[in-house]
Parts: sequence; C-alpha cells; structure tokens
Amino acid sequence: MTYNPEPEIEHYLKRLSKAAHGLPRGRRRELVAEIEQHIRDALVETPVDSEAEMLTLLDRIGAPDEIAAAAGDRPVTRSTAMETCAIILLLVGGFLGFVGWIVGVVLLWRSSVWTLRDKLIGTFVIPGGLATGLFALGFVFAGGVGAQVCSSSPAVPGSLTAGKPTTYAQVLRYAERGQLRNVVFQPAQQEIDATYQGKTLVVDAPTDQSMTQLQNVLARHSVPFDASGTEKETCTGGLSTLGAIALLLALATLVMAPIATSIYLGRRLERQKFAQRPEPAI
Amino acid sequence: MVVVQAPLISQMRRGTLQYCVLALLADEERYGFDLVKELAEVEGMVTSEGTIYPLLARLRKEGLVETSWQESPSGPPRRYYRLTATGRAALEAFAGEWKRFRDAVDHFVEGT
Repeated sequence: MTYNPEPEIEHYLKRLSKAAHGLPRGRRRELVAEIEQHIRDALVETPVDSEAEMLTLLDRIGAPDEIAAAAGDRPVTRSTAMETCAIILLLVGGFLGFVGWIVGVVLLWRSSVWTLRDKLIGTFVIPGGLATGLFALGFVFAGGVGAQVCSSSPAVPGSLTAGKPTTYAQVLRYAERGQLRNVVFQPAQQEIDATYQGKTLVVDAPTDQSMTQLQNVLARHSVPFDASGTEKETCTGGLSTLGAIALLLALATLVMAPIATSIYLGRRLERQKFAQRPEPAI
Repeated sequence: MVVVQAPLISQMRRGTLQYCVLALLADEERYGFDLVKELAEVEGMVTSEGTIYPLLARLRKEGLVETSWQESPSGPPRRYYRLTATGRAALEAFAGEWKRFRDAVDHFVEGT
C-alpha cells in the first residue's frame, strides 16, 4: 500500500493558517499557498513513502509558529491610533448624531489588526454604541412605558368625595343591618356601589381589606354582591413584574453590550500588537 | 563546554540572510522553491525553509526584488524572483561592508 501524504499536508497547512491568524487575510492566504506549493515541489523532487519521511520534510520546512512569526515581523512598529479612534467612536460616536459611529465602523473595517469576526462583533454589538442603549433608556422612562400603575394606593380611610355623601362606615352599618342591595365592588376605582332604600350609593373603599370585610358581612346576611371586579388584574397600562424585569434586563444589555465590545476590541488590539513582536527564528 | 549563544547565531543569520537571497538573484531570476533549496543546502544558513517565504515577501514589499508568474511545464504557474535596481545597490553596499567587517573580525579571531 502506498503512503498518502495528503492528510499530513492538510493538517500542517491548517496549523499554519491558524498560527498566521494575526496576519491580514490576503497575506495569510498567500503565505499558506506559497508553503503548500513548496511542499508539492519538494514531493515532486523526492517522493515520500512513509509518514516518517513526510514528517522529516515538514520539519525541514519548519514549525508553523516559526513561519507565522517570521511573517508577522514588521520593520516599523505600527501605530494603533486609528484602531484606538475606531474603538472610541464605536462606543460614544453615536452621541455625535450617529455620524460619529459610522466613522467608527469605517475605521474598524479599514484596520488590518482585527479579524473578520472581530469586525462583525464591532459592527453589530450594538449599532450606535452606548448612545443606542442610553437613548432607549431615556425613551422608556420618559414615555412611562415601564411605570407601575398597579399600586393600589388606598384612599384615606373614611374620606368623602364630592357627590358621594356616604362614608364607608355608614355602608358597613347598613350592611350589618342587611339593608344593602345590588352591591358591586369596583377595586379598580376604589369604589363600592350599592342600593340603600332605593337610593344608589357610591362610596370610597378605604382598603382591599375593608372590601373583604364588607363582603364577609354581606355574606353573613346572604346579600348577593358582585365581587368580580376584585378578581381582575388591577394594573392598567403598566407591565407585569416579569415584563418589567425583562425590560430592565434588555436595557442593561443594550448599555453593557457596547462597553463589553469595546473592551473586547481593545484586548484584541493589544494581543495583535504583541503577536507581531516576537522575533522570527530563521 | 562553552557554546556560542543561540540568540547571537540567530541574529547574525537574520541580519545577513536577506543579502544571501539578493546575492543568489544577482545573476539570474529564480523560482522560489529553487531559491529556498539552494539556501538550505548550505549548512548553517537556514533552519526552517518555510521562513524564507515571509522574507521574500518583505524584500518584495521593500522593492529589493520583484516577481513574475511564469508557466511551469508541470503544475501551476510559478512565481519567479528577480533583483531590482534598488536590490542590486543594497547588495553591493552590503558586500563592501561585509568584507570589511569580516576581515576585521578575522583579524582578531583567526588563529585562536
């Protein structure tokens, strides 16, 4: 059986491509293609019959790390001013009427320091940068979307409203005597409607407990009442607790994500700077 | 046993290798593989053949060599390297410096 060197070649070139990760794409492809051609030429000249011979040949060519390091050697330490500007603009450029952020994106894509993945992250997390998150935050609070209107702030016990000249205490007394009819509880409005001796009464219900108390009294006297209102969700226009938490989380993410992206891009920048420093071993 | 420090050897290689490449191209243009093979055949000049390619890329970027693609009798087109005028000037300048430097070092080290 003849030896097939292809898997070994493929493995070697993959390692090389990985090691040369810090190079601009075009340069990396060229390097890998050159080394592959070198291997093919060497194989034409002296065909290999075993894995051992193939490994010897690859050893002579050198470790992928060494070759990548030699390719990463740059005569002049390049300035990273453009990259720094890109990171800053991506984060806060949105405050300059969105144009600043666009400029940041352009700088991001023009740099050869970041990989395609880095650039995609920089662009899409989050478009507009910090401004988007803060704008959303402002919008939510100004618009009152998240405002809680569920709170059942009780009226002051026994208070009387104009046009409702009956107190809760009176209603309770009528109920004790079994004189109330057609009682309807309306917790949403903090009201109790009832008919007393042919007249319609509307009374402020001080608290939820007081409603329960009245219901108990009515039940004792077998007076039918409509308490369906008390079963209803008393929130109007607001969000459920779960919704509010989700909204807060979403907002926090919107604000935190661009910050995390900036830190990520900054770290990648540092890494590339150092990755290009090692002296090539020749 | 005392050995010459490895970093020194590698630095000397790094400093001079590119001129050896230019010297190989002084008389004729060469295919990358042949160039690398010739360099590697001389003991002690190159430890990793693969690292020559990045060096060639740098020389090209610096305008010391230029390349052209030529059809090959077998396989894909090959990239040939040729010295530019700048490259030739750099090679000649180095050759003069190198002789003086080599003689100076020899003057002290030879015969020890």
